[in-house]
Amino acid sequence: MPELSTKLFWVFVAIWSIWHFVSQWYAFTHPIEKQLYFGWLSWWQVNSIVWYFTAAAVFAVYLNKFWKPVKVREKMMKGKKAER
Amino acid sequence: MAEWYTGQGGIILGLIIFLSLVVIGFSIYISKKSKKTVQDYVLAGSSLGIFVLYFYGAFTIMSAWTFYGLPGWVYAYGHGIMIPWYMFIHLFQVMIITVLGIKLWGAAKYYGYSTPLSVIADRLESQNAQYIFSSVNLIFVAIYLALQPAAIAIGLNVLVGAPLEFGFVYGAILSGLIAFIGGMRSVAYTNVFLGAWFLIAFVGTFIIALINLPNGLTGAAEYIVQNKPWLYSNPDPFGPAKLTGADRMAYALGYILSGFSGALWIHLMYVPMTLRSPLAMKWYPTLQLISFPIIFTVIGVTIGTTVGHVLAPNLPKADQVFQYIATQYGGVWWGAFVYIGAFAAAVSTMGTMIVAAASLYSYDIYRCLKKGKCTDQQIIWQTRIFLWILVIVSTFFGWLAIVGWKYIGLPAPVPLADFLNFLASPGFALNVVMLIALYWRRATKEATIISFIVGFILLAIGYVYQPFTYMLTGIKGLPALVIALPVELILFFTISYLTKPASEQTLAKFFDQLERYINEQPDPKVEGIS
Repeated sequence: MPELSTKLFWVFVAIWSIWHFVSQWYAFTHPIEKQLYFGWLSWWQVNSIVWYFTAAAVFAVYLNKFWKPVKVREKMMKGKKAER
Repeated sequence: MAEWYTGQGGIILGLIIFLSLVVIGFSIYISKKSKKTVQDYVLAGSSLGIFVLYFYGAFTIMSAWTFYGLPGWVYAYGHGIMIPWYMFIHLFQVMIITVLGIKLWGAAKYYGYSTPLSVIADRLESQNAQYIFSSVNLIFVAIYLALQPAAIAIGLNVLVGAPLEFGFVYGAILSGLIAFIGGMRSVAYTNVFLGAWFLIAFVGTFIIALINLPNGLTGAAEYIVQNKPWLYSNPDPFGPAKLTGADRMAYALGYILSGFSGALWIHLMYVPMTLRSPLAMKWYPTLQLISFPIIFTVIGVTIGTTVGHVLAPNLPKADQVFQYIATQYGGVWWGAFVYIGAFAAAVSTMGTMIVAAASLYSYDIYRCLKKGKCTDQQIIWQTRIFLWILVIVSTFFGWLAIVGWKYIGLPAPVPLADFLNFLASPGFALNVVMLIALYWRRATKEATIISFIVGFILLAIGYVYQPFTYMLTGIKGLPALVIALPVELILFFTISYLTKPASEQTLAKFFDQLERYINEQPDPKVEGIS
């Protein structure tokens, strides 16, 4: 059975994928073309930047702290160092 | 009238040739480190670390499409459909280079496989699968490949008035040479240099554009809101298809769906196989997911939709917008520097694609036809010969779509972005069944092959006969992938449950043993952990 962290990671990936379809629906039903942020960034640009940066943070935490292929190799490196 | 290659044009051409010679020299230097094996030629000996991976991975993805195609497309049609498309693409791209590609990495490192399709064919116990998947992927790689020399040709034409044919031939020869000389290792290390040039040119042009805006970025954005607000909306409200209501929604969703193919671009499936260890993967997604919104969403999109319509209004060809702003406001020398950046973007992507695609033939087709009875040297030379054939075919296809469009009955030249968005990307999406087969024990060869072929046929019919999807659904503008992908997946899962799974021995090899190696028992010697 996958660990809880792995399950949560894939739930995040699913939500981040669905985001596109939800945001398309939102964009169809709201006058987003009139919305500017900081005076020049459009709604779609801000939506995209928030989405990317959140994903960047989640990937950083998952791959560095919880992903087995990395964890097992880092443990092995520590073991090798301790041996020396 | 002076010829384009005299005076300033001649000096710029000289600079481009000088840069080309430097890149070729660098490729020769890197190739000296090669071990002359297939794994070294095709996968850089599975030895890359995070620094080279970032430039190699990111600048294989960021091609001339990013440089000219993206600003040009959003300049013409607005960005409401383009942004979600590439967001989806990028999410899946970082996953194929890490969490989804980890089994391909393991297969290369633990079992010594040299191409992703050879892994999948052995997993499915079917050599026929290897022929079919290779042949179909070659078609879509050739289409995407055609975009790169086309961009090189357009950029040089805008900059110094060089005939398009010159740019096509020059770009094709240089990319072919880099790949020919040192394979993937040369391509990966050369991408570090080319990527750095790309970044300076791209960011520099954005800064120059900002300085030259009469009322700043806020003034430019306000101008768009007042005069062309649809550039910020979603999608195609006044564009070429004139879509409304459900048609508009279906078009947008279908378009975004092709973004799913980000994990399935065949040349990106090679990237995890080139890495020394998963340790090289752990920071890659973060680096890409931070740098890509800056490059795509902030710079590329703002230049196309906001800055472009103020500094370069009413251009006859939208794909010229980036180069036009660079040359007009940065001066011809900056224009030349930027052109070389675009040139670098095209060459860096072409290199990876050429090596990957040529190995689809040499390793996945030629080696199998010879039943494995061929030496590494023979396979490398087959790769080298085929890569030139591929370069010639793709360049000719690009020329037909951009210059010779009248000869093949097209109403207008194909926009650069469409080579990827509309043609190649949906084709790569068909590879989804191969990726699932790597992670799902129940997947069978019959299911994977049949569903893949049916998906391909449906997609091909939609490309050749555009009313096809309208006939089936009554919805206008629906991309063929929206039909092809669900049909492919339904067939795949249904047939998998109806047919016999692979042998216990094969399942043990690709699931139990491989997963144990990846997740529990790494071999410190092969991964250089000491």
